[in-house]
Amino acid sequence: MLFQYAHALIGFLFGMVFVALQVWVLVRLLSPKVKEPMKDSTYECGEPPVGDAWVRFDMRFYTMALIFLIFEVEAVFLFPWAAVYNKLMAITAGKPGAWFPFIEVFLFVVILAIGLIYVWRKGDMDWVKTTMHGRFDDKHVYHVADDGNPDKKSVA
Amino acid sequence: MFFLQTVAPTGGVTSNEVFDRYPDLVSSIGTDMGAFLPELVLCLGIVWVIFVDLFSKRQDSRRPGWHALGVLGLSLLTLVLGGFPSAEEAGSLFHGMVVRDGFAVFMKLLLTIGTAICVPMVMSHKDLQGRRMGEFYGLLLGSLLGMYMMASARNLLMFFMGIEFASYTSYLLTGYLKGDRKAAEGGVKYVIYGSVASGIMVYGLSILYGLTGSLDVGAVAQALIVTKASPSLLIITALLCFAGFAYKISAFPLHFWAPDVYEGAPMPFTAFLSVVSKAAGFAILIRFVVAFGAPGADGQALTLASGKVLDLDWPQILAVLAMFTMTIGNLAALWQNNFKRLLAYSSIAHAGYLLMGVAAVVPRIGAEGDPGWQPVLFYLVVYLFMNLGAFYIAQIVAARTGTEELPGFAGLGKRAPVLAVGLFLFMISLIGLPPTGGFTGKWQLLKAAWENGLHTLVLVAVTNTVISVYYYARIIKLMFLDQGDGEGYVLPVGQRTAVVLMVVPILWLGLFMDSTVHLIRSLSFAVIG
Repeated sequence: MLFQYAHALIGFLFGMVFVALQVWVLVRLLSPKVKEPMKDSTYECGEPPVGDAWVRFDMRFYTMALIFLIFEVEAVFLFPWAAVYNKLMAITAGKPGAWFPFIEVFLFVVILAIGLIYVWRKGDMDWVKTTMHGRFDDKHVYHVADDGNPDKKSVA
Repeated sequence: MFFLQTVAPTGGVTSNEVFDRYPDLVSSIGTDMGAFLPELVLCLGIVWVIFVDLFSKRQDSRRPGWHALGVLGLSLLTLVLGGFPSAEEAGSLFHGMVVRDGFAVFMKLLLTIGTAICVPMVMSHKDLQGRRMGEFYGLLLGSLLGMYMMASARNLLMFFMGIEFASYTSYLLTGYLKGDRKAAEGGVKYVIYGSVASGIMVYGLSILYGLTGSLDVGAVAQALIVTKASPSLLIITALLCFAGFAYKISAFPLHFWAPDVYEGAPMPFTAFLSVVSKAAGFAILIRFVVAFGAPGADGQALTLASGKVLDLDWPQILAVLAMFTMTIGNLAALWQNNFKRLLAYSSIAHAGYLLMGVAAVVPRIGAEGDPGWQPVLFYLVVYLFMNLGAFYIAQIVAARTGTEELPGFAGLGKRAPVLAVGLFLFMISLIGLPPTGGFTGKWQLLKAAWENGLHTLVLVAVTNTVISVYYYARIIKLMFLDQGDGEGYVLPVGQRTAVVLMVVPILWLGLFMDSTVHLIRSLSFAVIG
């Protein structure tokens, strides 16, 4: 009954042996051996590495990356849509589903715009913004806020 | 392909075919949208509630709550105005993605009412005040939207999407109190268990797709009958899929997350998880079981139910899981001193009782007369009110005494008689004693299981009920017989009304259950396939 899967098993075993052979045996036999201190260093796009990789990154980079995602998702889905847009509009012209290709993407952009409004309102678009203890305003005056609430009145 | 000889010929869809079908695909969407109104209301409501909070000048954490209630009311209104579709009106929307039938509408009503009861709990919870509460309500409504999908899905992808959508929002809400260690622990545990469970389920769904070449539940069920897949493969697939549902309803062996998550989550959300989330899990489980659980008509046809493991067939496997679930839940509950943990184990036990009802569904699939899932739905209605009621009272008591441990309930009968009597009735109902809905509900479940030949299961369930008396009665003893410190207090009118409003349905369902039973029995169920 299960014997019909035997060649899958054989293929799997063969694959394992093949990979092991390459990684551990063939590489040792065939590869040229050049000893050089740079070869042991961390690869950073061809540049000589500077400093330790275990530094703390500013949280704001992550926020920015998330905000970037809004626009990226927008672009990723708008390109294929744009490629077929004329054709779809021509097909649906005068039929019950006319304008559907447009409305659908319009809603999609509106939803993403809502996300944009949200981060904007939250102040995540400002690079200089609330910290644990306070924030700088537009005139670079520091305001203390006890709970990180930017709506609080300035104290200092 | 050559070694998996069970792949049904489907034929790829070329791009030109898509363009040819496009006008048809598009034209029906507009008409389907009309039947999709409750979901659309929720979609807009999520954004609305978040924006109300975001753009309000004053920091008022209750305001988004009122708006969330408004959204829920509107959604409820659209559901009620839409009515229960009759058997002729029942059908699928969006090219077979979701169904619209009486069962789905009833479940949606139930889920919406449950959420609507949780929202005032959130508004009065002492830790859930301050900023960003709009997002809490937004996520809560989002979770409800996912559960709407679960109640009406008929495509394997929609199954998965609904469960995931409801889950992701639940993870966030569990860990919403960021500073709270227990909340963080609960949230992380929930994510880990949830992702493992949905991973297993997706594996099962992928095997179904591989066997039949379709994601539409009806097409899969049809194709399974003509495939020559081995029974062992079928039963393994069924069990893999079951993992996802078992996690949602916190059934054995995927119940381990429940106590920690229930304890860590804020009380209103614990209530939501234990009732609304569970009801949605049962809705999708029933749909799955009815679609795939029918035994082959002539003994030759294969369905997921035809397989056997250790000589057990599908209803028997469900029965065994139900036994384990209720026994583990009840035995663990005996030792609990934290009210939320106790109700967590109690809710696992109740998942077992409900699973007993699902096991009894299987032999009735395709049979004439009343559908087998009627007792499950009835018990879900009862469970909604009694469990939410217990959590509601516990939250009031916890806010007064500052502790969620059981000793906080000592002497409640003297301090706040209304709360104590309310909680007494909910406990009586959770045990399953008359004159409450818990009795009629459990009696129907036991009757259904007995009539369908699951005699051992019924005996185990009755034994379990006896065990459960101990820990429920312990709370009753604490409230009325023990001396507690603390002064008596007069309840605000709103809270007193809320307690009464939840006690009334429990007594109503206990004394006059006929109208509800008739309503559930008359619900249409879009037979898939």
